[in-house]
Amino acid sequence: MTLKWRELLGSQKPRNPEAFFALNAMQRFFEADLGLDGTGPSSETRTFDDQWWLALVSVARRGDGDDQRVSIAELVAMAKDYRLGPLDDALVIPGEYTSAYRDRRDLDVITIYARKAYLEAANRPDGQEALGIATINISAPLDFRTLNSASGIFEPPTATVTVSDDTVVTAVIDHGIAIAHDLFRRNNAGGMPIESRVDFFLDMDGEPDANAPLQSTVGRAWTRQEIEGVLSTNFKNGLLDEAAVYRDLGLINWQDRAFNACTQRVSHGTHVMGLASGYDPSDAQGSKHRIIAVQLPTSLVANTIGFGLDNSLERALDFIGQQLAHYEIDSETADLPVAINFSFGNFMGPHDGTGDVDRAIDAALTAMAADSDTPKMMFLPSGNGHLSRCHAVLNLTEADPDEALDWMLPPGDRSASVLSAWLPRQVSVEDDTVDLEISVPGMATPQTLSAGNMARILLLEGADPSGNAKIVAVAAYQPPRSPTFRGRFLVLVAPTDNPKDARPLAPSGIWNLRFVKGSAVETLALNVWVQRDETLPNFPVYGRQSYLSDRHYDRFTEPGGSLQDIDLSAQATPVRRAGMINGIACGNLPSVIAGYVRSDRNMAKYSAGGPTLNSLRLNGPDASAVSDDSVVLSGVLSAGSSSGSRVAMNGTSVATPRVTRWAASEMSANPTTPFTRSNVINRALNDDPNLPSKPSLNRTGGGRIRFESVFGGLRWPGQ
Amino acid sequence: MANSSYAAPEGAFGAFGAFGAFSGSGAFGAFGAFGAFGGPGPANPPLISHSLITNHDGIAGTWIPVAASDVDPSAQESTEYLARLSPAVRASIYALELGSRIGFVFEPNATSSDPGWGRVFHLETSATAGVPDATYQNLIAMRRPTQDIFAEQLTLVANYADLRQDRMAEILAQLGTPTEFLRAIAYIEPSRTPFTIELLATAHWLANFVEMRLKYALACKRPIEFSPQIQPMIWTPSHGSLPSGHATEAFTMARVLWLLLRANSVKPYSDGIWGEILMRQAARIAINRTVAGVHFPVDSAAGAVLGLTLGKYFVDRCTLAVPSKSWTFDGVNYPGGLDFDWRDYFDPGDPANGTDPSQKPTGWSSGATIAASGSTPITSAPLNWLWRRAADEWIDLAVNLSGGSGSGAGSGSGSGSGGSGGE
Repeated sequence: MTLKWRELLGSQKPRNPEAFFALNAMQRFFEADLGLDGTGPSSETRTFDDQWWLALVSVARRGDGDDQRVSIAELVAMAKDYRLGPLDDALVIPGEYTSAYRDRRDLDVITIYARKAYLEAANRPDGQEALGIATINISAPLDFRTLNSASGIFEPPTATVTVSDDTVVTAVIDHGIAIAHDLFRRNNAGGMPIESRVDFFLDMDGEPDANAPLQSTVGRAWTRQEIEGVLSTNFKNGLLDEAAVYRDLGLINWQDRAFNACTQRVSHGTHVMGLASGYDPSDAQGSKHRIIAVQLPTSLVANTIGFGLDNSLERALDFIGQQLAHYEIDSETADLPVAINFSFGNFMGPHDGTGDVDRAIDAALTAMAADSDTPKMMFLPSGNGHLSRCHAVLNLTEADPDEALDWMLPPGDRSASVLSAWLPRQVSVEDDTVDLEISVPGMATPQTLSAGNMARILLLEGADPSGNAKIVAVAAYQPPRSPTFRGRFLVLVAPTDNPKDARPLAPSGIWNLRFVKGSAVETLALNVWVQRDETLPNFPVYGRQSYLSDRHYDRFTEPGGSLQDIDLSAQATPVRRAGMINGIACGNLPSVIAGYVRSDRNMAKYSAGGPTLNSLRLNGPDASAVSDDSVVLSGVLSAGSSSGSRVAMNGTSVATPRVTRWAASEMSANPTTPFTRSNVINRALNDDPNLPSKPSLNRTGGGRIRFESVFGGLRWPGQ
Repeated sequence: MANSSYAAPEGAFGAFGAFGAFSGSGAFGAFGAFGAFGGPGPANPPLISHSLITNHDGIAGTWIPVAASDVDPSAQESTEYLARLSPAVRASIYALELGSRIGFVFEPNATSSDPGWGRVFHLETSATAGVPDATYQNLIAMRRPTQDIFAEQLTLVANYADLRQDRMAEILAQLGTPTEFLRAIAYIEPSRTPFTIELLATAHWLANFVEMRLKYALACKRPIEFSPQIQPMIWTPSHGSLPSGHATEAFTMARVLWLLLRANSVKPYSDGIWGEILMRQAARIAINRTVAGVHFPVDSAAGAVLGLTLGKYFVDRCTLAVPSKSWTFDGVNYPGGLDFDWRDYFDPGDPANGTDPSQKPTGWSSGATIAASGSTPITSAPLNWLWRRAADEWIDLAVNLSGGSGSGAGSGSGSGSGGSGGE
């Protein structure tokens, strides 16, 4: 297979290389995976162009002020008046956005649903002026069955939820949430556990129902009344027929889906929600700890292309924010404290708090807290990538002006692999600052890409069996721009494998990236991150993690010894463990939690940490909590998918909800007392005094919080 | 061949072989005799035989003739005698008692919309001098689904493959007898409940006897024959797909066991939850075969209808009752996209609180009352003997709290009808 580099110039040049890559290079892979290539079920007549994408976009500014942005209403008008023909049929604004919201001019990051035609137009050089879109984040097409065909603005539902004044809402955004688990139920007056503590549940995998009391643009939103209806229908002989419940809720559907998380013994969201807000049905605590749950779309969770899963987060946060309006105390609208748990992460982003997802989180928390006297907090894991070899820091100097990285793309990787290299923060990058030379396996000559003030985009193309040119990789340079102000190299590579004929595939093996400092600067520090693209636990095998391979990086303390989890300063490798913190956990407001081992109080080897490039979060995590009971008893116990079951799962994903649980209790006890990151840090500092044995602040944040284990007593007493 | 591990690919009938699991422990040697169906029976060790020969020579002495009046003849056709037989010998007796009363015909039909009916009959016999009068009564009629339905069902099989990692241990363990899974629900243990195990094995035999004939007649292709992408994780058995043998056997045994548990009105067993859990167990075994990639959900549906019917029929035979209900399963009317859900076919109700269990009709399966033939049917004393022995194993040994005698005998031997539930 012959591969050739080609540069896109002028009006061909897309503004966002990731979106361009997803819409073009990934087309044949999405077609193969979704059966759009004619090999799917015979009823399948959709094409790639018909697919709907969930896009997290930032809207264009028209002036410097915060209130001079393009409104949603204007976005729609611009799509209708597009110079090459109307695009409004390729754009859907979520019905959850009210008319008042659509007229606001201070919005930053919003969600839209769009087809390829709109996304391509928005991604053209004139997309900002013509369509009002500043940046676009997309990942994978949505399951068409989950899109609500009802258009327009949804009527705000009138239903109210009456609560007491010590009520706190725990919101869990996750995947695979078995909401009927008995830990999320309450006994009714007769002692039967058929009341649900889940007041609202948005299943983004669900099929919309026009008659449902709560409408959602994607998926199916359920109210507690509906959930309890399903529970009581399926309560037989004192037992809940859980398979029947999940069938009725659409969470089990073997006809249409090959992956039904609730049927697995272990499901991520169930475990996490058990720790965040699982209470025995007879526990009085359960009545004041209410739950809002959001299940993310499987198609986006399973697709580990990277810049994607987080896109649906804005929808989830908006859903949670909207449901809060339904709570009432004594017939008055209640202002309830909220603890949100999002146990997901990735590796990418600027790691300085200016990424689109970081900003969306900060904006949502700020919006919820506006005109409110109660805390609105979000808890995120610090990530499990400490040993993933997905981060490098290159310090280029006059004496040592170039450094090369071997980026290993594993064979059999069905997802895209992505690497980015960030320049330091600066408004403008002079020419001759730094070059990137890319050597592709099997290609004799490296390709050079230069940083500067001009965006550049190069395509690596091969041929399909009919001889048509197809993109195998995209290499791009983007100059600094608001609000991140960092120049960036970006390399996006197609999958190295597909079970169908999706040729040309990307060559697996070592992609050598050589960074050469130019004469415009004396020194230059580059931060490189490789995107997470491994298959998530319990999902069918799909992605395999690409990583930076360096012979000077010692993975073990000694041959045959334990995993080395600290960066030795003596090491001559640019590949770093430090700084592998979750790329969406670098914002200002959420609390970020790392994981440690209960028995020996060491940090979990995988638990990622800072530093970050955000001056408000230099250390990285705020605190750490238990993510493993011991070295041999990996993970901590929490709810399995079936009622009554307890299973072990590890990761910072399970440390985080333990903090969420504590925070919710604190908020319930003192609803009008502020609760912020500082509360978490202070508790950690208090629980973990400064002794020589304390792990580094970059790993543990304020320290290792000593919580009583929620379910760990089942493993050994006294935890 | 890989057959050697676990069980032969014809796993449906591995049940009897699986009694080897019991015979592995010497304490349960008696049931090793079930090896008569599979492995070798108890051995005559050559050393002992040789010793007995020389021993006989040494001590027998001079032959003394015996008069006829010195020994009384045994009573004929007496169930007392059954207790002295080995379980393997009894199994042959039960096999004739059950098998000789089952009839089968296949009504072929050449059209694609009517694939033809497999009909299983109960042969009702009444005592007359010499040759008994016999009437064939409907018991089960089954018609296979169309090829369109199987093709649609195949997507479910493909999707269920996702659970293989989760269910592997269960799927491999369930190549053996369902008794291993039922014993985790009811307190079945070889020394404690040998006749319950024998009764379940006998019911298992009946289920297998009938299902294999139906499978042969209906000749339904397996998922592996429709697509190279199914790739089952275990051997696909050589016999046809519908009805599922595992579903048939598991539902037969689950229903028999619940009726047995309730035969003496012992307190907890009439609670609906016992039936609930037993049926969940049977369904889990059936569904695991779809996960494994060897069965369509419609096979489990057919197996459930067949198994529930045979379970009740078996208990009727054991309790001297006249079988009263026949069922049909019409695969042609099965909705192609429909998954298997046991609740479509059985409602355990809650007999303790007056809701009787019931086998439920659907758009593709229905029940009918068997018309009485008018004469007095022959019943099976050996099957009734086995039932009573097994039922006695479940008599409650509870303290008699009100009477204070403390002897604790339960409410009497469960001789007669099939328990408290009407069904």
